[in-house]
Amino acid sequence: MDNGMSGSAILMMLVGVTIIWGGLFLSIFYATVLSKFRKKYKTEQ
Amino acid sequence: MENRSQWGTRAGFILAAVGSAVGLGNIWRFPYVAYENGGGAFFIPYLFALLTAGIPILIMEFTIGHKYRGSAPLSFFRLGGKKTEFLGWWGIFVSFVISTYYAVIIAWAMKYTIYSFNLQWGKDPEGFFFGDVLKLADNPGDVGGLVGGVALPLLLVWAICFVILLGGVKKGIELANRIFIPVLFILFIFVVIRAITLDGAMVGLDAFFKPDLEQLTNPRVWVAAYGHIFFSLSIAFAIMITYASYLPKKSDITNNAFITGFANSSVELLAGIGVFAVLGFMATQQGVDVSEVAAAGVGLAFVVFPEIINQMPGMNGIFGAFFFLSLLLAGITSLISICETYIAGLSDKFNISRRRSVTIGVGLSAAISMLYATNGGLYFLDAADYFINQFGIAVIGLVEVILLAWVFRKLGVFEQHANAVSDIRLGWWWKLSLTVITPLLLGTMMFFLIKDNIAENYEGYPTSFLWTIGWPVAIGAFVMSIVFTAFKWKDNTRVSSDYDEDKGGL
Repeated sequence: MDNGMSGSAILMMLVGVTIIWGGLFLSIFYATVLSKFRKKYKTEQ
Repeated sequence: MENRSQWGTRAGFILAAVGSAVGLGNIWRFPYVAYENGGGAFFIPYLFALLTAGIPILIMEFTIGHKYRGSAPLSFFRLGGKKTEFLGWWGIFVSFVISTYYAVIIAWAMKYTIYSFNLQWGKDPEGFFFGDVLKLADNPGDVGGLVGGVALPLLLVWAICFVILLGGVKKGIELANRIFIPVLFILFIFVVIRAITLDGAMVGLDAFFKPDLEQLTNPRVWVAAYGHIFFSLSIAFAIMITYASYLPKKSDITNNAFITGFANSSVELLAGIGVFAVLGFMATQQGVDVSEVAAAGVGLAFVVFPEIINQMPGMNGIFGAFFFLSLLLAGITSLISICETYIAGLSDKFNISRRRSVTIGVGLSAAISMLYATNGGLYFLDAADYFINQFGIAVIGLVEVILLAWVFRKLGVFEQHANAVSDIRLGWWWKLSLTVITPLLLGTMMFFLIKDNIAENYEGYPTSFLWTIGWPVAIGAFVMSIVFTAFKWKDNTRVSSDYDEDKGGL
């Protein structure tokens, strides 16, 4: 029995991980850092 | 003016919403659905469904709860009067049915957490689960007697749920989720790391992620993706509306929905990696293909997992305890959100205190749940789960989207409200998703569902049995929604105060 992952499986894993976990990271980053920066910038204007 | 409970912090709300969405289905349903529907290729329709149905409906429900600031029936009453109030009650009665059997599965997980330490299921986990634990009756429809070994932990689950809900929104639900969700995450990370370090784990991961691109042309794969996203995110059964109604007025809606949606999918992906890594290990040990050991649901958790734990080279007990404790925590956080829907609904409609509402709601649900702790409980649970999910949640979702987008044309109002308080602005994609894509896909899903159920009885159960528990719970939830809508609101000031009047249209 082959014990490794095929190239196409690795690619799909990377796509899934990047989009889903990346999406979570970006939305949390937006909520915690970017939105505060935006509000500060608006207030200063 | 009403004094409505509120979440203490934004993180508290997000953890509660994630706690609600992340449930048993993430761990035992998603991996198998993905595997059965094209493996890695399934991520394409899955992500499409997440972005065109899951998150858009989540945003809509967060907006409804936040704007109309009431339980699901009160929010829908404020939105469109008696003509829409039934939607809230329909979701609540679906939640009520789900809570009655969901608690039983949590009770099994509670037992198995303790069983794990000395691998009490022995060498025949299947016989142990169906024979020793459930003492399962021979035929569907046979009630038999109450199984004490299931009824006692079930009472404990309800006691935990009662105490948390009695604590209220901030000191009960929020506090519980602030503790349970991080613990669940740590436990699950441990389970996944142990799983991927097992011999043969990569064989399982290859089976899970290997894309079968031909499946993308199969409409049933797309329907499966939409169906899964729908059931996984706790949408269309009153939960997210109720939770969002406890948000302070100045709260972000859109980004909170993105965080909740992506967090739910992140846990599902992690579960897929963990589950298929251990299935790969099992297949390698037995010298068979992964397809021969792949399973889902109750069979995966309480039969296949104990078999795998038996075969593990080390840390068997602790791995098992952490896995079942993860199920327990994921289940409890979802169960409290399900119960909160009818607690809030009863309290708003009949103007009763939270203590009374919790006692009535949880007490009634606990009493009915004893049916699933009998010898025939598993058959009842299986049929109730299938019918209430397929003909309850899915139908409500379809009716909700059609009524709000096409009949009452409220999307413009919702968009205005969400954009006024959120960092991310809603655009054309949101309206297109809710007016065209979601109704079309859910309609197709209903078509296949009705076609399948006409062709063959679910799981080959006798028709008489399905008319005892399956169809009655699905039809009963709708009938009860009409009955409860007919009752008068006890407190008119509660109905008319503290929310934003509608301005604008689609």
